[in-house]
Amino acid sequence: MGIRLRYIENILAYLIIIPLLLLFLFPFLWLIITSVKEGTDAIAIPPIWDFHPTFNNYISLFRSTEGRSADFSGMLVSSVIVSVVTTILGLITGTMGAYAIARYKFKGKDFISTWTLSTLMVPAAVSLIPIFLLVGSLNLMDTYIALIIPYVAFNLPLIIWMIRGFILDVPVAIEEAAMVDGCSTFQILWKVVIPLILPGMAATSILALIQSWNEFLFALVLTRDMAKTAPIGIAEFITMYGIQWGEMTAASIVITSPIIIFTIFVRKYLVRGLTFGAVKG
Amino acid sequence: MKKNLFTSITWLVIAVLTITLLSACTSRNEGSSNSSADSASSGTDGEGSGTKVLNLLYTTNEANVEAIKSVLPDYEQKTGIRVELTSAPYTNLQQKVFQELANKSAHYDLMVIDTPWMADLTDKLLPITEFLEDPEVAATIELEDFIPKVFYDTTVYNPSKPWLHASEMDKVDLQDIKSQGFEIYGLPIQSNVLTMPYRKDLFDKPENRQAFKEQYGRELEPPVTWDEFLEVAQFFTRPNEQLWGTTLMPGVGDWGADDLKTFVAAWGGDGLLINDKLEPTYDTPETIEALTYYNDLINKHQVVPPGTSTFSWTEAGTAFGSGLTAMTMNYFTQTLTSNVEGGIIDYAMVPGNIIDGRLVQGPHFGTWNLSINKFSGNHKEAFDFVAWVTSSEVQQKMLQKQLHPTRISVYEVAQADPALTERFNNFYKTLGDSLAIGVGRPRTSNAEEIWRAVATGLNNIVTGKGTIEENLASSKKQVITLLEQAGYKPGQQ
Amino acid sequence: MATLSTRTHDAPIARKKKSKMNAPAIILLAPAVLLLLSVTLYPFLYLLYTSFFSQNLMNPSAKAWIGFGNYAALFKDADVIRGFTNTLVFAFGAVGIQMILGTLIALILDKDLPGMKAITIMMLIPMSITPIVGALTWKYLLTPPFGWVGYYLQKLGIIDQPIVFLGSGFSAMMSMIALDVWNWTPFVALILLAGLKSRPHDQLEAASIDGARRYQVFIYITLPFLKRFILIAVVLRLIEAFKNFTGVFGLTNGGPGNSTLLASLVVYRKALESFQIGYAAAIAFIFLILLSIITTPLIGRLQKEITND
Repeated sequence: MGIRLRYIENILAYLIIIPLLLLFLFPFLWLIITSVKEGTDAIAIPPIWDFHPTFNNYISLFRSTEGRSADFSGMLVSSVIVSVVTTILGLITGTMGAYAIARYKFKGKDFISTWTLSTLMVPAAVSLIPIFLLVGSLNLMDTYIALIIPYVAFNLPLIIWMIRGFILDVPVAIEEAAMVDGCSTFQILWKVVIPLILPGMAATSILALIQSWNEFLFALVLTRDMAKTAPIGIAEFITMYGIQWGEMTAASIVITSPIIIFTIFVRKYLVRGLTFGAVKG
Repeated sequence: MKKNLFTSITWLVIAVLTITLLSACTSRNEGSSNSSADSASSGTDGEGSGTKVLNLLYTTNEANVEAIKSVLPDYEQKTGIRVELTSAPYTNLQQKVFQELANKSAHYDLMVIDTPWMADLTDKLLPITEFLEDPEVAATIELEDFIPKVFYDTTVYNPSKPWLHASEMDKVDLQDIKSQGFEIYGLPIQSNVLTMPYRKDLFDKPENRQAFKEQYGRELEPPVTWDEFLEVAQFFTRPNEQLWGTTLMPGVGDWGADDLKTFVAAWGGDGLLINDKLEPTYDTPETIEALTYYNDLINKHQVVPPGTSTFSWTEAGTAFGSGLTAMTMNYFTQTLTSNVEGGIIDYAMVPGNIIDGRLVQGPHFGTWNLSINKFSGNHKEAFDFVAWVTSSEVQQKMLQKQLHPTRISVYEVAQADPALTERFNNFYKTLGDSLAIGVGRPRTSNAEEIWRAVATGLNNIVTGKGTIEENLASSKKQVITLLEQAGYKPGQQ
Repeated sequence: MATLSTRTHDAPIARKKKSKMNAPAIILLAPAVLLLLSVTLYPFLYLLYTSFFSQNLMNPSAKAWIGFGNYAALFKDADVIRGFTNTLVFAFGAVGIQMILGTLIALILDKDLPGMKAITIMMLIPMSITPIVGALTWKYLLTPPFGWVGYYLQKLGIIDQPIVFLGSGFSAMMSMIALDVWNWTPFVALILLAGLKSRPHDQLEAASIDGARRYQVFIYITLPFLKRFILIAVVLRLIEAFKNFTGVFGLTNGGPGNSTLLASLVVYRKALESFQIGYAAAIAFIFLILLSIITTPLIGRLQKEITND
């Protein structure tokens, strides 16, 4: 009885998961297909299926600047700079904070640790108002720094709490031994703890990288031209004249592929970090 | 094992980053090398020491930035002054213009201004009336060549009461403007007006012409009145062939309110929607009639493609462009996708109604005004550039990059240019004729929200959320609240 | 392979020499705390202060103290109220569906069947797609006449009239929820799958020896074990859903009418399209208060769950 039931159950599992998978992949497939169609075929109804795939959209994305405020490659550079610097700064400040929370006992520790986590709830739209005015009066509009500092702050709660989980996995005995050897706090952190939590830091950094790579609202308001990031570029393919479908979808594929590849490769570490150490890789 | 995975990821990350950086850097370098070559050449052309630079803030999409970019090198060659253009997309541009001016920043000497922002900016932009009175300027500027509607609507404002409209003359008349107590805040550079692109191939098709004649007893021509429009739209509505009569733009946004005021004007109502006493004027019988017609196009006669209630100008353009409708109404030249075989586009004016024996039309229009920052230190140089770039000669050059000109003479040139008429058929004629009778916007602060309140009312009507009367009443109430929030007392002068 | 966390025995032995340890802790924490203050406390105080003024970006000089005027106005402002209620409906609706669907997917992916690993990897794609790209893609897939969704539903005979998904308040809200579900169910499934994979096998074996039925195993053994993972997924997703801006901005922009306005979009419009900084500050402040009322207990719970092991 058990075997037959299991058999039916397995069939059922496929019957549920495969349509679900197709449904989940459908928008992505549409993006890929549209990105290799000639611009004018992209939105034809009924949809055109027998087309000759072309990479013209990708080529023109990186070539001409006609009709666009900034070239897409320039926006990609901005995106890379902003998200990489954000990640590095976030990792440095976050690891330091996480180490303090994980290893030290001090007055107000409970409050500070709860508070760092609870800053997670502050919506970007809310903190945007004062930051918009501040950035304007400091004359920092359209600069990388105007994006990086808020992005670091937005990523800190998760960075601190993920890294805290990884630090707790490091046996205290090792650190105590180092302390006996006369290492200072920063030396212990740098020479003993960080090498041991590197994989965890990698996963954390991927999360921060993804978050800052994808951020839309701050980039929309605080950039104009020079510091404009790629997600804003995507939205700008929609103009009064219509939508440059081919280039828009090609650009979408270009900015999502690195994230997809990262996510697939680091998924185990990512889960480990996001479950705050409940699962070990 | 774990370590290997980690190392390989690290390498992957580095590899991907390097590739993106490299590919991106190459194109950036090309750009910068170009511009440095430009400035080098200007250095040799322009006499004297350092090159004078004017900073211009422009819009990315709505006013053909490529057109103005194409003439900047000419100006540098002619005067030695380099105009540095920064462009931003619409909402960004507005934020930037407002913030720069609120901070009294002198950075941008020149800014392109959209009509709805003007009410907030008259004390922050430089009136150029004095410059225009200079005999030398007056001799060459040819103000009377500007389309009067466009000129008065775009740039003639009362400095202390920016909500007032000056009474218009048949020709731009500087002395009259001054005597009314108004000033001139820049020169109009690009006008967008609602026109009616249609599928000439479908209108010319013999079977269609014959069938239409049998059915309606007249020739199949682009409609001139809204009654004719309905018939033509019904004639072309063939859902099983994936063809509908027309598009409309009742989605929530500027486009919806702009549609509404175009129809209200054609029914003899006040196309401005808000009068100079800052009272909403659109809950009148004319509006109700106009909106009944509009709503019936969508919900009763169903001559529009499904999904119309969400359309903006983008979707309307896409629907027409992919061959789904025989007519459309939009602000730009349209293009068809390749699967629309034999498709030809021509342009006509948006229809009107015969009222008292006269054809009444009032297509919505809005113009980008090239204005001078009051806080700039280069007023005279900035003015010279404004005068040059809006001159007939330069507008004619920008025509090749699809500028929508603001001068009568440029329209005459456009209509005589065989290359342009081959590409765009009657577009420029239609554009010029429509601008001559267009209706602009009310001049209020808080324009964005007021317009959205109007558009929301229209959207509710076509999606069946309440009757026309109910929605007009509630949107009027909301508009009054918004006007009060903006510090006005509706009804008072 | 994966094992249950066995952290407890080498749990942090807090350093004993308390007074001596204060200084390094402060230095270590300072940069992070300062950064966090800059996006939390500074905005909080700024908003609170500004919310008592009538202040327009265009007229900085016309700034005037109006007491609770902004607050009085916002509680009468239909768009603001709608923004708040929609945010609740959206967040709870989307996260509710994500949890149910995510659990189902995780349970299936947990099965030791051929192909499941490949399916798991492909399932990760939606959560990797940049939100603005997802929103715009959905918008055009859903918009007739060119949207593929309507076209193929009609072709398959499932509907006979094109549905204007974004054309009525209800279906537009459903579309927003669907977008979020599509985007983030894989995230929930990923976390729950990790939980399932780390279940101790001996427990399950003991249960099956006891002759427990499968659903009993699920309810009495699996679910309690998953508690921590469910909590993490719910809290992280709910918070993100409350803050949603990109999705609504790209998909409906609040329409049709104002029926899908979310709180973030209301704040954005008042502050950065109408430049009514004072009024926007009041709305943002109330939004922040409401959010902290809802999410503080959740975050407290989450923190307890993370630290108590």
